[in-house]
Amino acid sequence: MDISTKTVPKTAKGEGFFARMWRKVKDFVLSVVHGSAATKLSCLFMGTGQMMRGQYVKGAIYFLLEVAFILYMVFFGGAYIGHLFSGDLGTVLGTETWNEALGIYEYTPGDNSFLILLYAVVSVVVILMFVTVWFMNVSGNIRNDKLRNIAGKAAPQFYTDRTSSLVPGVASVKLSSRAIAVQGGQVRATFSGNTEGAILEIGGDRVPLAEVAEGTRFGTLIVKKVTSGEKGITVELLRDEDIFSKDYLAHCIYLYGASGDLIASAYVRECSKVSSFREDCKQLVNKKFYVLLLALPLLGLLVFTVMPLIFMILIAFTNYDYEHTPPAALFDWVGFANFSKIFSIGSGGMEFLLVFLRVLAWTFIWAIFATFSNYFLGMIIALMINKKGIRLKMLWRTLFVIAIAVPQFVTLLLMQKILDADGILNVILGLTGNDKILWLGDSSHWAIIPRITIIVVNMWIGIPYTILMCSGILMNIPAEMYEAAKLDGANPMQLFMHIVLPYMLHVTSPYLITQFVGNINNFNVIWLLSGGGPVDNINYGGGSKAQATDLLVTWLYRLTTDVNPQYNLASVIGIIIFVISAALSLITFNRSKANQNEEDYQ
Amino acid sequence: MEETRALTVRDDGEKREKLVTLLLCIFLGVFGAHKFYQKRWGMGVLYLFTAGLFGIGVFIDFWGLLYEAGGQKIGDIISNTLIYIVLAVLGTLWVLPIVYLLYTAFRVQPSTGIIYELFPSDLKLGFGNFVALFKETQFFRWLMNTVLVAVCSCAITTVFILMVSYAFSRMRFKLRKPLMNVMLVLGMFPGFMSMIAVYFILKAMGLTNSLFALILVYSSGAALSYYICKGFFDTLPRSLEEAAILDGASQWTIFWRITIPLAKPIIVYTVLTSFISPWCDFIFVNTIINDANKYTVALGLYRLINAEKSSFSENFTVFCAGATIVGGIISALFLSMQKYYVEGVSSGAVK
Repeated sequence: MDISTKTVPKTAKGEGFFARMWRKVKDFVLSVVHGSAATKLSCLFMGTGQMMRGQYVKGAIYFLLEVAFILYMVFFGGAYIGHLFSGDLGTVLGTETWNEALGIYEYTPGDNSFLILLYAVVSVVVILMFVTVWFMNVSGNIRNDKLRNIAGKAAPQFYTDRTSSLVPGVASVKLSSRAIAVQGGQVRATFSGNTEGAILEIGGDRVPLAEVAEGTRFGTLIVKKVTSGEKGITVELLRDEDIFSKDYLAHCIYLYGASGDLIASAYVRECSKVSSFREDCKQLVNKKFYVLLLALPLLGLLVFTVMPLIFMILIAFTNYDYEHTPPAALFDWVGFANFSKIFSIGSGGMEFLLVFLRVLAWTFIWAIFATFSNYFLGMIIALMINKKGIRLKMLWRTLFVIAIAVPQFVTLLLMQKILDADGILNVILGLTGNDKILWLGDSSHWAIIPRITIIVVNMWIGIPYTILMCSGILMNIPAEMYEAAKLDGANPMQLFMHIVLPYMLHVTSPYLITQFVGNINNFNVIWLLSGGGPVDNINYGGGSKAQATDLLVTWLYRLTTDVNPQYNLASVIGIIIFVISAALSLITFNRSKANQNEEDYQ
Repeated sequence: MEETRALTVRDDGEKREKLVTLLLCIFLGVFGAHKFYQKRWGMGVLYLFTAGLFGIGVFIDFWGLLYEAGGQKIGDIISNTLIYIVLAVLGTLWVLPIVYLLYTAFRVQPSTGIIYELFPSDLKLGFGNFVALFKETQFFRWLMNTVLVAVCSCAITTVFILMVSYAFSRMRFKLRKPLMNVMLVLGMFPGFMSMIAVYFILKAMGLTNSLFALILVYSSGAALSYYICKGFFDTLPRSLEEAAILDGASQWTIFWRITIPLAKPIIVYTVLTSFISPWCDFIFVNTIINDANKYTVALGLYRLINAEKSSFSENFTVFCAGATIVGGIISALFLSMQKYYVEGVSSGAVK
């Protein structure tokens, strides 16, 4: 049966995402339905198809994976998946019963909602991974089918490349091959160097290189296309399907100089057998090297970032708080109740929404001030240090850079002590008793003093980074721009306003956005300085636990580490933070020049 | 002759006018006086009501007028002098807290708490706080823990980042763009949001309260910060690789023999940042580890002055001694590698 005509993928241009997906699914199903027995069998028993075709190691690995998956689901995962379908997170509470005989209370462990949810997430991830492996397994079989199916013979692919230049510097042949599963292989030979009057010989046929054109035949190969460019003359060769041969041929490509001497040669072999395990492994360090490179890092991400993340997102839809903490109590799904609590939809007044908006507003005000104060002041100081005629540049730079070199938590804790009510700053200012300024604890006037203090301390921490970065970039400003402006009689201020500032803003805008997002999530500065405080009972009621200088992140942290933790609300806030940061950074990075033309720099 | 004199007179007049503007700008700039003098009424009113565009406008005008009134040479002299003054003042401000840290660390006094007097009459300097740090706390243990964790996680992190960056920068495969975007987005989630879940996953693996868990957590997220390194790889020329492919080299060979040797600056940058981060993190350690023997320096020092048991400022001088040691180690490392750090930061920022 010839299925090749049915399953040849015809990529229609301008086809939408869903149409493409639908076509792929259809192709996949058709390929299985019309596929060989091996393919059908391996849909059920993974790896059997591969074994039938001699890929024993690969087949065994697939088979063992399936066995392991089934064992996992039967003995562990299945029960947790069951919980997902029954829609509850445990029903049995742990109980203590009096044991008369032993005279003690015996504890019978009940369900633990937390672990049920966690393991359910793990199981779902395992299932998804298994489905991926299953697809890999079946599509591997489909690929093998195609290799065999054309007219009952295997389709040829060009396999080995070898390039050489016998007379160095005169001419050379460079080969690259491309395997096209259905239509057969294609090989591209590039002849570079002095090829004037050269004669090409492939498969016993000799044609002057200059006369090679579309349709020229060389043995079983036919020329598809000839292009000449900077790199030399490129000839694309295809297997001529009219003289389809069962044998797999090796082709020698010879290039003779005008005088008849061999000046370059190359060697290409056709192949079409099902790949052996050794060949698969070789691919892993070559064409599929990325699989090898990404496997471990992505596994780490999956286990310690993705799974916990999915878990915490799910928590936002439960009532997991201090009143429902396993194992003493169970928690359960509550739908969007936590979201409506934060946004004060429904009952309970506007209290929580007001708190949320206040924290959100301060988060943004903080991020704006922290980002731009650091950026502009840092740039100005960098300009001062780098100005022509300023001496001791190293000294000035080092003075600032030391602030980076000391770990942030040290400087922040130190600053916290310096700014303490009894701290050294008040001592130096000679403030005692009631005159003391509570730099980080004054809650009057919307806690304006702590807010300003934090921004100023953040400048102390952040400006040196900007100085370092700007110093590097300032040197890259094209000197001609300066010279031209100076000839026009521009003063330094005009130079700054019209040349330096636009250049810097243009070049560092991605940095600015990264900084902005970083500041929205700047946990350390707030937590180590003011701890989110001072407490402001009037404004931050409603059981929200938020304090005056809390950012969304510190509020989240406080909610989870409080004596009465509210993990559910914390998760909602985490999702909100995520949406804000992800939106900002995706827009930036996908619009940035660098991402659009990655290859420009090479 | 007549003409020249007329010119000089006009020049003198102009010069005097500019000097007056400059002086007005210096003394009455916040009221927009110089703008009024220049007959730019609109700007003058604006300056008057915004205190000279909050001082910034006045500052900018001052700089420009300085050069206009005084010429290039005098302008340079005055502005350089001002710059020296500003740099000296700011430099002092930046160094002072660190001087205070050192001063407190070497200050020996009966109690180890916060000091209310800057220069008491019985001031003594010595190594008492350092002795107390090593004798009374487990600082040495914490230090060794941190070194172990930092070295291991830094090695794994660096290898991971290089691998991921190479794959994204040099190879082309179907899932490349989606994966890059997904990883970018994943990096946006505040890490400690999922900390409790991480804790329970570690617990299920039987790994809580171990330094190995810390290494695992620090290095597993490494791949997310591939961005700077990938940017660097993108700038490496392709011609070398193409030559190597012609010689029959595999991607494996290219990665180890060509790309890695060329990537020295970015490797140093990655090693530096990933080595330093375990020294500074205390949130993850706080969740995963509650055995004082397994603390890292960051958590140990944090607990020293923020523990529930000890009063808020009891161990301040000892803390300062510990902070001096940690700060010394990191600073030495940082200052010696500063060049690479700048390269990394600016290449990451520009892209």
